[in-house]
Amino acid sequence: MPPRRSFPPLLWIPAGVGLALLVLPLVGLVVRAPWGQLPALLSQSSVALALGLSIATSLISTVIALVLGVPLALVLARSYDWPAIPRRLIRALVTVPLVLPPVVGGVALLLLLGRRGLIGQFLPFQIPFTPAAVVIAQVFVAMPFLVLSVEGALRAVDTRYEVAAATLGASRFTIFRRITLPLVAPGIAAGALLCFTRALGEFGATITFAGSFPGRTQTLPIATYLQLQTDPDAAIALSLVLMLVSVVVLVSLRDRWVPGVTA
Amino acid sequence: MRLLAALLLLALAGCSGPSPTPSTTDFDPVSPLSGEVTVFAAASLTETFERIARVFMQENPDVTVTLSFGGSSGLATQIAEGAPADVFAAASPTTMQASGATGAQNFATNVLEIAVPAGNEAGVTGLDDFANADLAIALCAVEVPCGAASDTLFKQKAITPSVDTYEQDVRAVLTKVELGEVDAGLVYSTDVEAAAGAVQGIEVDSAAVDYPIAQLTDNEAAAAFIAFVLSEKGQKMLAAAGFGAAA
Amino acid sequence: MKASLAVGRGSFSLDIELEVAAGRTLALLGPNGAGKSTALAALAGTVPSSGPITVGDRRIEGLPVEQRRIGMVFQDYLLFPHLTVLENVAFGPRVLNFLNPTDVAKTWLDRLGILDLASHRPPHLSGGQQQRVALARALATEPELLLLDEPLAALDVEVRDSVRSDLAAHLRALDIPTIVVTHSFEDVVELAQDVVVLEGGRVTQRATVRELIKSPATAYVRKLVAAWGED
Repeated sequence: MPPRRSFPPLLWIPAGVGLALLVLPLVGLVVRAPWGQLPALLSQSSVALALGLSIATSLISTVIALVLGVPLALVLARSYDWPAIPRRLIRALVTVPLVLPPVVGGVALLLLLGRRGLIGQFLPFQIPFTPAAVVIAQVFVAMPFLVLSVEGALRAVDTRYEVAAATLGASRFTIFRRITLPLVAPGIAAGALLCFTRALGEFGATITFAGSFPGRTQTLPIATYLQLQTDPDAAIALSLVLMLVSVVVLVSLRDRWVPGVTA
Repeated sequence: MRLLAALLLLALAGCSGPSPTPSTTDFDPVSPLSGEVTVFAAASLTETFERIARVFMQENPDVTVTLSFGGSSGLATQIAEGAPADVFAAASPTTMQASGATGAQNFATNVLEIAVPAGNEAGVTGLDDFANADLAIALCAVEVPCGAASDTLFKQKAITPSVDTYEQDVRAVLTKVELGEVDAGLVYSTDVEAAAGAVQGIEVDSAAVDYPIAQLTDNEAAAAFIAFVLSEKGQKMLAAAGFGAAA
Repeated sequence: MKASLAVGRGSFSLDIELEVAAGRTLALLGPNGAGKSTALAALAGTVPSSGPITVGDRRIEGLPVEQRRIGMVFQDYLLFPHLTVLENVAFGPRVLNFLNPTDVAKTWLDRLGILDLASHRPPHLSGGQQQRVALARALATEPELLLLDEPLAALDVEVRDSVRSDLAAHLRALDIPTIVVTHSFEDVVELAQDVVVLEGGRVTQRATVRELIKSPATAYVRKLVAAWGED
């Protein structure tokens, strides 16, 4: 006799509602899509421009987030023997972009890196209204996802493996490279995925800090928003593209790299 | 509370000497106006309509006016999709059409004006400077009324602007100018007025843009609000903000 | 090797001296909490201690863990789960820049009779197999001192005896000093020649295994010898 599953049937109600809440809007999108006009709407050069810009900047932002975020996650994960105040401060600072409304984040970036910004005024080049600004805005809002995800994975790694590696003669950097990183790789992959998709969908910080110019700073979410003003069908078409990209990213990641997130 | 207000106004009405010409609010002291009015208005109307609504609510204490500002085209789309607005005040006849509203009346006009950061460090003097690639320029996106108007203006003057960013509504352009992030932007003269001190204006020779207003639902208070906007009081407040009279 | 270990950790303190000649195995015997594992940690360098430690002709106290040239077999083996058996054993040689890490690893796997497990991954191995891999991994770096922390505790009772005999044979073939930490008297008898009894952070008896059986110095040892004698 198969073992009884310990899943209370009553939980299906809130679970079902939750699932419906997440899925039905997407169903609505697909149903109302102007399938007949799709080829015409999507073949406009502005669409290709926006899509290319979005994917390129999101990829770059994810790479930057990995390079900066993984060490930061390590600092956070191994900070248990620090005094309380610096430890809590760093953790709070890393979490701030998550709770800040993205537009506020954009304004903050302007005040720091804009032409008259705290740092920006001393720079020989201008940052706002460039693709670099798009990347910076995306890193600001998306990196915390990666940091917190990797930190969680790092805390779950048995630190005694690192001790064993040390007794075998490995230096601290070698231990990080050959033992810690590989053991934490699934967590890093999950964090990178979250970061990429968050960067892809970023709107408020980008439009405030980087502005909007086709091919340069007009990402797909911004293009979609602008289209919504005059041509909702075009906006729906662009939304479908964004949805498709997200699904492709999710599906192409194999399960053993991101266990639990993919099918 | 209603009864008290009614009695008070009844008394006042009786005390003001010769029977007063009914103001355009068509105020009936016996059954005062009440209810809620949701107004969708173009971003360039922000301060002015807030003032108008405040005075309207003072005169009609039982009416609550809720204002929602944004790019007219976005608002028009929302209305077409069924957003619960009672009144729509748009920045162009085109967007009013797009919303599907009928029976619109023009209540004001506006003209485009160049906005530069206070101090005008870049030394902008006119529309020709917009073609200068070394300057940071912000314009409204062509999908919104002020963007369409800007586009027409530049085509008329045969100037190709070297734009750095197309913003999603006129207030976003204004903000970028205020913050000094761009050297110049093209906004409405009322926006320059609203941000006086933070920006300087340079007049341009542009055609006036009509602002229509329409009632969307069968709401007595909404009709009263529109009438108030069109009344002498409302028109004075619009003029004070820099709007031109309706054509 | 010769060591004076003094460790103070909160309310616990350890103050002992150990001496083991090359080719001999010392058993560090004592009840739980006596400080046996702490002594090993102090030798390996994962816990700070004061007092000179000499291994071979080197003074290693004060050196970081990775420079002490000590091989350690942990109670839970701690085989790297993301590497194959071969990669686990080759890890040390590779990190220490040996000429042919893979060949060195294969040699050790062969010596311990587990060459056929080379491409397996640790989670799929039995306890006895894991123990041999852990031993090979520690020895592949050619350490100057070998430490084993409760090497049989993680095994099922049924396999302990056979694994113990195998381990005894391997240890006898080594020519470096070896210390085995255990609370089991069977381990002491089969694996070691000398014994140091540790109780409450202090040495209570220092003897060869035979001497210990003949004249146990404390009640604790007497009990263990008596229980062992009944088998």
